[in-house]
Amino acid sequence: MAQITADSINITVDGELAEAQVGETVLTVCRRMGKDIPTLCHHEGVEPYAACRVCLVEVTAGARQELVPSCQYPVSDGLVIQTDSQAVRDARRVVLELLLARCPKSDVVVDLARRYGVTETPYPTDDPDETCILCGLCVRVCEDVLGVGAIGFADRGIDREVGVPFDEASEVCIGCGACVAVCPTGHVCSIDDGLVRRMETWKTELELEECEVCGRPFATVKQLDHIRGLLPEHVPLNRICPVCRRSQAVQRLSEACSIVVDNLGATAGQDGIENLKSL
Amino acid sequence: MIAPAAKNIASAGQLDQLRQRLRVDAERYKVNIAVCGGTGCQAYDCQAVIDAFDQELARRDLKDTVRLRCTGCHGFCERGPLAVISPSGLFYQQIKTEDVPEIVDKTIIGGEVIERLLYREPITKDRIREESEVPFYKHQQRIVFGANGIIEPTNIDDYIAVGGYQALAKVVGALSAQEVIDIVLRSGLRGRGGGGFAAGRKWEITRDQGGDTKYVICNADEGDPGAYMDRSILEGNPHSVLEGMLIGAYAIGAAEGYIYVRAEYPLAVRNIGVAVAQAEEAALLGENILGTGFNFKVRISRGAGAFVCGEETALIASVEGRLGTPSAKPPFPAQRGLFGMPTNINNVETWANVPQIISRGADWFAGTGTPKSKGTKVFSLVGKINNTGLVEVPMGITLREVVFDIGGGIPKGRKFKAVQTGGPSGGLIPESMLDLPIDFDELTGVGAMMGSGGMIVMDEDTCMVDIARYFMNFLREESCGKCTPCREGIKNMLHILTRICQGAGNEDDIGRLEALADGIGAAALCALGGTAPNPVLSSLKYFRDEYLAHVKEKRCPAGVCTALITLSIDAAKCKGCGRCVKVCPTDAISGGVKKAPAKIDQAKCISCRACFETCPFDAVTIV
Ligand SMILES: Cc1cc2nc3c(=O)[nH]c(=O)nc-3n(C[C@H](O)[C@H](O)[C@H](O)COP(=O)(O)O)c2cc1C
Ligand code: SF4
Ligand code: SF4
Ligand code: FES
Repeated sequence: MAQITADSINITVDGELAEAQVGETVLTVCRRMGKDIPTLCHHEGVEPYAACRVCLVEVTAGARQELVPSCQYPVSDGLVIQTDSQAVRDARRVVLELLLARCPKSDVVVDLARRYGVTETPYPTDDPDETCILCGLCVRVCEDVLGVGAIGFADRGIDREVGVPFDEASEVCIGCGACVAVCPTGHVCSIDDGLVRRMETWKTELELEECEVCGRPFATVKQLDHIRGLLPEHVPLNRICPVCRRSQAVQRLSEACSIVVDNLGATAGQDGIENLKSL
Repeated sequence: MIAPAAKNIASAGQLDQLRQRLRVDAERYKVNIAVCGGTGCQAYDCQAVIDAFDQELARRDLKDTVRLRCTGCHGFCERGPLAVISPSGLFYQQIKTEDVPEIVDKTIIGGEVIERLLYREPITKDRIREESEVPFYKHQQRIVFGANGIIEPTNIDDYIAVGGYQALAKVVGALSAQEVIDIVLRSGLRGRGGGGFAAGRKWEITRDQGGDTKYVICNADEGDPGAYMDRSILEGNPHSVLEGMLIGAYAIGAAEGYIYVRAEYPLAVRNIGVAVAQAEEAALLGENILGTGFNFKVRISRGAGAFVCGEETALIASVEGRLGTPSAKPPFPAQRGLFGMPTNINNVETWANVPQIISRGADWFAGTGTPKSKGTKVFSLVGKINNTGLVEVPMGITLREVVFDIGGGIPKGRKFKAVQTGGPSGGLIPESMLDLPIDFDELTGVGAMMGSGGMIVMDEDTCMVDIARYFMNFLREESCGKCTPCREGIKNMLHILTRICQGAGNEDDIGRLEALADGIGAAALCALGGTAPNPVLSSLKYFRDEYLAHVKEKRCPAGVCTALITLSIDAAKCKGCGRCVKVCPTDAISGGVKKAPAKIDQAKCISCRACFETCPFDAVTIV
């Protein structure tokens, strides 16, 4: 039996008793137990959004059973969860059929649909090249996590879109590429071309900064400015690319080691060790 | 407008004194004229009638003895402009400005009744003198709308004179928060905005959350097409809503409230704004209310008018200045709502019931209705019905009584087909279920819902597939697009329904619609998507034959779906007047003269129905 702490509660997942902590989501607990629950709009680093609806599970509260998004639904004591009931599979199928009709060419959607036995969809496709599933991760990471807010949603209902305001190059985009990284389908893309980063999806181009050491362009000027804005005044931000930063660190380490070696015998390594500590 | 006497009321005693004084003041008026200034009557230019009264009274120097009021909606919008003349309670309808001098002359001065302006019962043809005797009103029970026809909404004195803010004085002076909650719980009041959640229970949950900052919100988004209950309450009796919110805030422990009202309701926005300002002047809003140490202030937040912004989590986002899209619950607003604080949100009509429950008691309120649905409900009765308007009926009244006794049945001798309750995502209820009592759970049980009070009546000329398509189209436009099932699913339900209406559907489409409806209902994020399949599922349940006729026989039994109808002219009935020949846009009709009856060339006909609507002799038939 696991240790019961003040904040731990008991839930039942697919008939199995499990321990969870107050404040955890159903998804977190289920994944810890090795349950296979698909997600599309979820990202560990971003607040839950519960929009794609592929992570639905069935919960029983009293006599009522309902489907809830596991990525967002908080655990509570005595909660009974089914991750793979008929109702769950039926609902996921409908959602995946709809997503497949929307984005027939998205590998992520096609593969996930196939896992639920959906290889074709009864619904028509409007734009065969569509790859955005409107999970909102790009918008959320930009606005809620970074506080930049360069992109947003436009229109509502079936016409909802992600994009830059007025479909014009963004003044505020810092070109950090977080949206590219979180987009589950690869709809958001960017290309570095010489001293320019083109955020293709957002119709925005940004100037890249060259590494002070190797001269390779590595981050946008705006992103470095953004980071500087977040740092306390006395902390300098070196415009050195990650590769050079790493090799400089290695360099410093080996210098320190050689001091240690040099001092061995004479001072029993004491200075050398202090030197190491001060790195 | 007369400047209100209510200023800086420092105690319950002062409120009482003011009320006494206002009542004595009112006695100097021999006659009271209450002209309806509601939205419906404004469409008939009631303002001109009010101005005419004002001028006429001034001209005859009657302003000191006759009080003219522009009141909120009386409900019988079909018959506007309306006026009630007291003390006799005479009810005049369809008043024109030309009638005004005669009314002043004969009725006000001479005490005579002008028969022509009385309502005439369509069947018995009797002229009815008093509002309460008109069948439209006779079966109603007006709790929320009780004062609507007698007070001037922009004058707080009128509200105080009829007992307004007495419930507040009682609550803050003599009751604990728990006692207030207990009264509301015992009354059985359930939310009037759609979900029907027990109001007292929601207050209790919000009250029991930790923290010092809590909010109350009044939901006046009212996005149902054709519904205007909440708007009429805010326009006609805004102080009843403020008083309800004050009482709720006291019980919950909130010091601040918001009224979220759609900007397209300018009169409601204005009247609630005037009410807030006057209540502040009267010190009934602000600090140390009635000298009890209770503080409460109200802000008005104007909504941009999206249907989905009525959903409580979307509404809160919108008040905060964020995009008005719903978010998943839990957390419920009662747990984490406006600005992250526990928030109690109720509908306009829910709030407006509260002062009366406090004043008259929980038992009085619970004395009306069914075991689980208490009090009254306001509906906006529209569609194929003789008396359109706002009706307030006791819970438990049957749909048949509302449609036939109050609504006066279906116009033009057509047959009743269905009634839809619950707004765009409500259900369609067939004739066989007309004896269903109006009750939250009964309506949900048949696949409809109470909703916030839309009631649309349909006659035999309505195609149920087409109607389902109409609602899906509305919901497709109003879906926020956040979650997959609602965004993509409604679009596809609409697609299938359109195909069926165009005669391109097949039997598989019906199964597909059902699967999709079930999937959307179970998987959508908020109740917009969750209830969106209702019109489709209920029409499939009660009018399946019509779907089958469309897909199997390529026939629209109601003769509505253009692609599935054939128009022809019955030669025996055609009198050769030639009207149809003139209106046909494609010159498909030949003949139409005395000797040769009109005839439609099917190859040219585009089924626009112009001839059908025009023929005075019913000679054009649709199959
Ligand atoms: C799509 C949608 C629209 C809604 N619109 C309204 C509305 O216009 N007015 C309203 O009071 N409640 C509306 N609601 C219900 C609210 O979410 C909420 O339940 C209600 O305001 C609570 O008040 P009550 O308990 O007094 O009914 C809507 C719900 C949904 C899902
Ligand atoms: S672009 Fe990618 S991250 Fe953004 S909403 Fe679309 S699928 Fe999601
Ligand atoms: S159900 Fe519809 S309205 Fe509600 S969140 Fe989903 S898309 Fe938006
Ligand atoms: S991952 Fe939970 S709804 Fe998208």
